Amino acid sequence: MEHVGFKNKTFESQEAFHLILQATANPGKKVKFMNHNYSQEDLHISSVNIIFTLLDLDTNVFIQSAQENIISNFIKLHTGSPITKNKVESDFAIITHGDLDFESFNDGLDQYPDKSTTIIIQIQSMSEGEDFVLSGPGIKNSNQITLRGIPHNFKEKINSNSSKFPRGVDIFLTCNDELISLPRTIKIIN
Amino acid sequence: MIDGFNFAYLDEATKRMIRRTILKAICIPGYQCPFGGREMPLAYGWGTGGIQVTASIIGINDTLKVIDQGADDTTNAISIKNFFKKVCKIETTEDTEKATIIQTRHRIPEKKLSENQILVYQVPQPEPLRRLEPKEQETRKLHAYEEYALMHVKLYEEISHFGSVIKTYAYPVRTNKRYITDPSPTPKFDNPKMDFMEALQLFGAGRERRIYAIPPYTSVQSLDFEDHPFQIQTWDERCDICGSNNSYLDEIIINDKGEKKFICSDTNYCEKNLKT
Repeated sequence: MEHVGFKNKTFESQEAFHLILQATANPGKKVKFMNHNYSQEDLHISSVNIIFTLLDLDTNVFIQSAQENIISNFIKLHTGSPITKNKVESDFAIITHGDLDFESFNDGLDQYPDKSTTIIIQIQSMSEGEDFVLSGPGIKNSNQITLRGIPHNFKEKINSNSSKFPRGVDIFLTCNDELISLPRTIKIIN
Repeated sequence: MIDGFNFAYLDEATKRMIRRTILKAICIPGYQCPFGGREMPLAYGWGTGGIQVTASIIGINDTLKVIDQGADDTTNAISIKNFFKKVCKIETTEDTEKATIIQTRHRIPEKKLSENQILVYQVPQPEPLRRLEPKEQETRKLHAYEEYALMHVKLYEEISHFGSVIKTYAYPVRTNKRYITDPSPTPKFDNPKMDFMEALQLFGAGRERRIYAIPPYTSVQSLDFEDHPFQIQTWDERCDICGSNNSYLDEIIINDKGEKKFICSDTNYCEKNLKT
């Protein structure tokens, strides 16, 4: 890439944000990024779209990956975000490898629950694997998603996160060009 | 589009900051997220918060509708529409069904909104507890610890003084069974429309620098008591123009003798009703 971030910053980031907004307002809904112009071999296309749309100098980023240095350099180059080794300090976390527990990230303060980490977890599949039934604000009755390559005890971790409401972390699951958003309000009921 | 401005007026860094705030606001329904509100080219109180939210979400394919007290053709609505035409060159409409984004000052359209629409409210005072507790640090604590007795006492006192809750606009609601939220000064007539609304609702308060949100399909309950259930306004009259008996009616004085008529506050609804 010969430029930093999106080439057409205004319109490409608006398009990407519109999809992220849709996904977050309708948890469990799979949205697809049509913009495949930007890629990095260790990151999914949807992760790159989110990074270019939401990250900048004001967001601390934590990275957990086998290619930590490469991703870290990519993010520093394209967004200017400071990289942190401290999970609690992070506004965004990008997880490409390994297990994780949500507890160690920032779940905000009682009076400022918005000061919490948004975790981007790259997973292997959104069409096959384990089934989960979601419920919560933004979902009409319930919503079923199928995931593979997620953290261990995913259901327990999501439900313990949502039981802390209004505190808690918010999660973006990314796979290739697709995104599923799981705000802290969401419970896995089955 | 006029030269010398970024698309949608705000610079990209500001939009990014507001976008992050909007996402957090959706994740915590009803919670007032602080954001770095910018100065806009119009006075506080004229919708600077709503405009910043709209500017951060709007794209070239969006169709914008702006209403002020339900009307498409009032000063505030027209000038905001002209503003976005100037800085975005987007389509605007008066048709509630055709709009993808509806920015509103103090009304929710009568027509049921759909999943692919976003309703943006202009909010003067986002804090429902402000009149009961002037300190921001204190109201934050009250929200944090779900300590809402003050509000219930206030409603109780109104009932004991006047026989019913006399608040007819900005009637407090409970969002997702947690945060007490100010529905912006919409008439309480509109409160039931917020409950499990299919459209995403975003609230922008420019002067107070707060954004909050209610996702689609979210429980929004007006505060009440078992023996004094919440009730919306009703009228004996019908709309003088379209004859509707189920929309929110504005009372207008028509001559010096004080004679009055009632007309629909939602002009687009009234127009469509007249045609059918």
